[in-house]
Amino acid sequence: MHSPPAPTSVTINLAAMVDVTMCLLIFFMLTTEMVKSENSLIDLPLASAAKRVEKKDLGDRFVINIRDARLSGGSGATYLVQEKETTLAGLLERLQAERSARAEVNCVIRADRGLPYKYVQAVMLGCAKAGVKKITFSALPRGGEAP
Amino acid sequence: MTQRRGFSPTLFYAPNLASMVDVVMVILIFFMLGTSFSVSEGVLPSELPSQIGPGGSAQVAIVPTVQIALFEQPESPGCRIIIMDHELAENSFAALAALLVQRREAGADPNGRILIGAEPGVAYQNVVSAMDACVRSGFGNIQFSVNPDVQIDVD
Repeated sequence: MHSPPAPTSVTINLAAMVDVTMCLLIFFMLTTEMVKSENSLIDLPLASAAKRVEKKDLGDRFVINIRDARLSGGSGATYLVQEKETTLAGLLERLQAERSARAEVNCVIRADRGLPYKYVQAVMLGCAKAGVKKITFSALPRGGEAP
Repeated sequence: MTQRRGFSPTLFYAPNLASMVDVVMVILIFFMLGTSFSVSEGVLPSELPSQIGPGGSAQVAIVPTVQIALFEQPESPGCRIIIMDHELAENSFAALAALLVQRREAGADPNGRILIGAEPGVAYQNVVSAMDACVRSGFGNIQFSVNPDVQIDVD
């Protein structure tokens, strides 16, 4: 008379899953940029001549985001620095401080394409008063629009 | 000690991957949620005149090679383009670029100053399009006219 077979433990073979997971993990690790967010979601204007540049090529950058408040049901414009909302007066003070700290500060303006120009002009005037000479306008490098 | 013939017990040694999978999955989820695939942006550089400095907003005499003015068009997102006090025959940035190319081919200095002025209500896209037309035509020294005496009401 034969004795009953010993119970066998059934396990899932995880090796293939580990392979796939590791591939995904490496992909995300390589593509993720862990930086302090300085760019808000802005509907940038289009300009076919805009050059793609690395962040380091922008030098001592100071990024100003200007959102069209009308898009969110408000009025006027919203100024943002490092995702923090600020007033125009506050922004201009910040510009002065940046200029004092960094002589070659490059002011990067990112503004919504439909925004009235006066809001951008106010920042440019602030740059002139603070002594910031380099101004860079962010745009999507695609075809521009006809008036 | 005796050994049974034809019997060779096989032992499989495998590491227990379960805990490793747990850790890897946690890291994977962290990276998946933390990643944002950014759209690559381009830039159009500009430089303010060196005469302007702190406490500035100084009035500087600028003799531009080309002066472009953009005027609002009521009830339209577009604008009227005036170049050297003349309205373009065809009111488009393509026509502006074509005219600038003609000027450059006629001997205009590509490093000469291009001065862009716009009414406060003109959409920012139009100003960038004017800048874009200048850069495409080979003019890189673009500057903007701002009247420092005018208080800009920005709400």
